[in-house]
Amino acid sequence: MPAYYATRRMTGTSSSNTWARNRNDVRHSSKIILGPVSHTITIVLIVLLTGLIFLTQSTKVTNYDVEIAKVDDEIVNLEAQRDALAVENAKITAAAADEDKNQVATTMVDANSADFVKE
Amino acid sequence: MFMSRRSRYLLMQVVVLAAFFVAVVRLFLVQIVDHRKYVDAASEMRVSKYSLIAKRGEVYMMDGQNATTPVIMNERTWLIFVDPSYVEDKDQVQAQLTNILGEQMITTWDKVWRDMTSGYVEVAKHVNYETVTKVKEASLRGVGQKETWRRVYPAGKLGAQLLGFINAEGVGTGLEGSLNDRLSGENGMLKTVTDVNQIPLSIGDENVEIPAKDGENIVLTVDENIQRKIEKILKNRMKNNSAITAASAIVVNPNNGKIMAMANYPTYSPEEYYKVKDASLFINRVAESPYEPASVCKTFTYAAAINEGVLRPDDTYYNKGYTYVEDRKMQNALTNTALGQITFRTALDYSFNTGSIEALRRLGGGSITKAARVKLYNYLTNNFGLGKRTGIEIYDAPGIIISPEEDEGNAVRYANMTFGQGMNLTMVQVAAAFSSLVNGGKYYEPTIIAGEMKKGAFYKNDDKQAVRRTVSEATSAQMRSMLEEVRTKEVPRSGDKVGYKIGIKTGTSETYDASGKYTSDVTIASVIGYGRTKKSESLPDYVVMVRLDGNSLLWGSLDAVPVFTEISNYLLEYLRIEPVK
Repeated sequence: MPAYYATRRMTGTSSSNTWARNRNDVRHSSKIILGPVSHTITIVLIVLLTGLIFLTQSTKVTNYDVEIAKVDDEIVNLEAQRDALAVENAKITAAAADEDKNQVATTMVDANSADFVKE
Repeated sequence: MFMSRRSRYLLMQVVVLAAFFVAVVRLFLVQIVDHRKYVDAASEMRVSKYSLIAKRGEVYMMDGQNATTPVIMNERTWLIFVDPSYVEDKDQVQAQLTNILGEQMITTWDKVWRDMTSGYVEVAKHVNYETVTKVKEASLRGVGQKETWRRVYPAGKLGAQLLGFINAEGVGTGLEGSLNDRLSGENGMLKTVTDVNQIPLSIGDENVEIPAKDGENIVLTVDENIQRKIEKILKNRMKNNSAITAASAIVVNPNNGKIMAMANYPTYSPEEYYKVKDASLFINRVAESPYEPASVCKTFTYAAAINEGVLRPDDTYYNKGYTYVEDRKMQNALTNTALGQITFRTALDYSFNTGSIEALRRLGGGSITKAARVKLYNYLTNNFGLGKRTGIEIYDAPGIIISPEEDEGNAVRYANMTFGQGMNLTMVQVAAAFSSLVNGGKYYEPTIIAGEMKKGAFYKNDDKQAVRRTVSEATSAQMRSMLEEVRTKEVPRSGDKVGYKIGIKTGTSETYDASGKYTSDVTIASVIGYGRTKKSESLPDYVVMVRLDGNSLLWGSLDAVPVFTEISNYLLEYLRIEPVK
């Protein structure tokens, strides 16, 4: 039998130790034993890794925000251009209307065709 | 002198405990007592608040039956400011901004650099997109830009007094003022964590966004083409007659109360309102300037008498050219015309004051009793809505009609009121009341709003319903026949298009001289009328009222009627009203 496991039943010293009857019969123990320095280094590494993950993710979000801000800026610029064009269009249309060249004015039918009417 | 080892140990314990106690107390103060203070300070450092500016609603006019055209728009502009405390290179900022902004600079550089600790100096307002882009591209430290809006009037001076403007303090005239609540919308708010470049970040749980609620885009009932035509007509008329100092006109659809045009001349450019030196140009005289419309009001007197059953158009009375009311002699403008027994039609044709006074007498059973005055007062105010605000959505003056219960509401005043003196009315009131007189007796509150523009689509309001009956249909029909006779007999109708029925009534109002007495030397000429097809059962398609203020004697029939005729003939064509043989 290998030295690194033992049956618990064999550890009983009293006939009253029947509580262990349904427990695992085998206990494994590692051949590698970590000391306090190794433990500390491991924990520090885990903390650093977690921090790194947090930083990369939060930076990623921030990067998206910067991209969103750029897109928003672009939207504002495009809207400004659209508004300026709409105003220019309205001014040109109004100027044309002033010259009686707008759509309604040009499609008007002269009612003088009623000249045949006699009272 | 030396402390024992045990004592030193105890002392050390006390010192350590005391230090620990101090640290605990300090932590308690910071974390518990001043918790809110430090949380707020931290929040202030990383959280920014922005006001989300609501877009002011645009205003449109009708362009035909269903199309619309913008008459007030918004232009996105920017304000450029300098924060001297952040500026590193003054010369560079000054040189580059001077080059980019040029004439748009609203201050001098001496003023900008006067206080280097100052945090905010505006250097240019309402710069356009191209200019602000150049400023941004220059990447000047200490120079910033803020988005703003500017009202633009693409149609220039069109409908200036009706549309109005809103000044820097947010006080508006015309529609801009009266509809400010609907146009202005509600600003929103953005509270967000930002980075060092003030870019909003989505991290954190303190971000709040309340979107701005933009103002309504309002569509007016006013038709741009009619408005433009009428303004041209008024302008030309004033150009050809130097005696006219101001001209106004209103066109109403008598069958629903919709205002089709509301014009004033002389006018101004709302975009450059600050250049106007005469503030009276801002007044929409059609709605805000009450006056004595004179003989135009005879129509209301006759309508009241006919509706009460005390007078028929073909009834007669004896016309002496004058009549006495108490001790006052009141005479006709044409004192020697059509003397003797004449019909009330004839009296209206010649606009005899004696005829309208006789109508008032008949309301009182033969004399101007208090009962007669009360009847006329009720008709004028309760039925026709004169002397009070009409309910139109723009600023309108109430005007004045003296009650017969007051001392001044005596027989002489009421005799004067029968031909439109001794009371102040606005053109909107008269046009709305006259509409009811000729449309079958239904009074519609005049309205200027046709609907709303949402995402580029026009949503029409339902037509308003008549709010009351002013006279019976029979009375209305009799009034139409009288008014159409006025047009055919008293005024030459050579200018009218053939195939239509036109009814009018003119008015020539005396004005007050320096001593407060009526003078005929300076008058206001008015005319109100309508047009319809010749079918007997047809109702008028439009009502037009014209007012010409003069610096000498102007006549309703000679000066105002030609303006009416020109407008009326245009409307007959524009509205495509079918001529009938």
